[in-house]
Amino acid sequence: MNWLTNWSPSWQWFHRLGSPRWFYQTTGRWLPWLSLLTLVLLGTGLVWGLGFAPQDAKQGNSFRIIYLHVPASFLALAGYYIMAIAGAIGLIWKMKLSYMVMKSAAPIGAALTFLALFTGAVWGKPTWGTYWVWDARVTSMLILLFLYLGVLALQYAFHSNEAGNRASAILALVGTVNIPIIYKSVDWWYTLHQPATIKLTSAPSMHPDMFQPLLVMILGFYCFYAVTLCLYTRAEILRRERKSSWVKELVVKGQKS
Amino acid sequence: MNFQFENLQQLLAMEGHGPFVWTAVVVSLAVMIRLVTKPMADSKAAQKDVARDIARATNSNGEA
Amino acid sequence: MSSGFTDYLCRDLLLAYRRPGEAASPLVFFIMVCTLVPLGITPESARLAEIAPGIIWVMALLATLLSTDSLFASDYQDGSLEQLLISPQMLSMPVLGKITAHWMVTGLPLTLASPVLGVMLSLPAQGYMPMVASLALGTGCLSLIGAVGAALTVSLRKGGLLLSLLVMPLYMPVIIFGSATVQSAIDGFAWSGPLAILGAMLAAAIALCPIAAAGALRLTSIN
Repeated sequence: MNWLTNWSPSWQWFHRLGSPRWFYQTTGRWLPWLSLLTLVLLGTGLVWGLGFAPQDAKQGNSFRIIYLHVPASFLALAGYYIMAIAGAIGLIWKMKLSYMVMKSAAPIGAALTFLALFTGAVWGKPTWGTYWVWDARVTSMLILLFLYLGVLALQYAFHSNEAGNRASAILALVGTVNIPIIYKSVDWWYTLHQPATIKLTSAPSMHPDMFQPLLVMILGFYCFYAVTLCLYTRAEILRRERKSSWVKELVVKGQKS
Repeated sequence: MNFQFENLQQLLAMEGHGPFVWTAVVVSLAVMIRLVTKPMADSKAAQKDVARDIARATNSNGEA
Repeated sequence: MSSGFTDYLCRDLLLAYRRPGEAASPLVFFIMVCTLVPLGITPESARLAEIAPGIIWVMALLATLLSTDSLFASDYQDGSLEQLLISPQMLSMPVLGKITAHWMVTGLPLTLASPVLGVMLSLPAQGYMPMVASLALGTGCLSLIGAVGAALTVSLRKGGLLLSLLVMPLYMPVIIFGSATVQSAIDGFAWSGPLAILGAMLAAAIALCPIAAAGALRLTSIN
């Protein structure tokens, strides 16, 4: 790939992006600002959603769980694609950094999927009268959690880091191809077995007063995801690059100040 | 846009739905805080490792 | 087909023929575990008939899963996998040959034995044809998807349990449409729809899974 860098300057950013050192220094600069933004967004959204948004006509106050459930579900699914894309970049361009991003995305995604399931279950009790329903979306979420756990387990099963990275990248890609199929089939399966009349909130016709805080929360969760992904990747970089001179310099500088 | 509850007690009770809403909030916040603190602790541990390596290297140099 | 498909198909079939005990164990597992169902739930035929399609499908899935582990394992241990990897030919055709052999040794016997289990679990008469058809297509899918997992875990010493964790979520669409084929036939609906989807899945899996498995073998089994 060397000739590419020499021939076209447009590739330079791509290769610089692949350098863990560059990533560590750049994210170090804007991470404080992003964290601040995340805190503001999440704080505003949560107070707005929990205290000021009007309550739902049918579900009463229990609907306020939506402000955690929906953003977590969004990021749980988006996180899988981020993980798979990072893995694909790693496989194609053999980029160290993107494997680190992929490895970092797995635990975050699994935690968010768990949150989506947990908040969904807690929401289900007052709304449906039960913690667990084999609803199409709930079931798909559960399968997504299994997919995440598979990637995590595979990553740690290999002694060699390289092999573990490549294996989990392939698994993430295979999972990506499968996610639409899984979602479609679970959906179809659910219409086949449609039990009683259980319907989740009809999201599209949400009142603006309820929708605006949700939007803030979703934005906040996206920022939160970016922050945690950076933090995890930075920790991974330090661990992996501990023998390199720039990390040593960084540590020495940190001790002096 | 008004605050929907008269006082703190009502906010906590949420007309009977309080336990569910607040469980969701507390667990979510706990998981999210863990997601932030875990990599920070990892970073710190990694830096400590590097510092120890450097100290060891300078010590053995001094002896030789 | 000089691309290695038939070579590896014949080779693996011959190997299975020489070790009949190993080849038969998924089938024996399938039958034994289906015997546990009446013992665990009820011998009452009306209730058994209700759950029979699902039970047979779940057990077929587990039986296939058990045997998937060994798909590349012996080749990895005796070094012939490495030989295959360094040879210039395209890797996915030999892999497809191995998967086909695996299906003929596990999926096909399961499919052929399933009517017997249908009788034992008092499956309604109209369920037999769709069950055999769906199992024939579905176990093919299972073998193909399982091969990707087997390729990913072949170099791990204790890959068996991990393998099932990896591929189980990927199996879910297959079991949904597989058991739905049988169920809709029993309920008196047309069962060609879900069966056709199962066929489409098989076609997609034949096209994609050998490539993914070959890539996984190349990237993870040699360090």
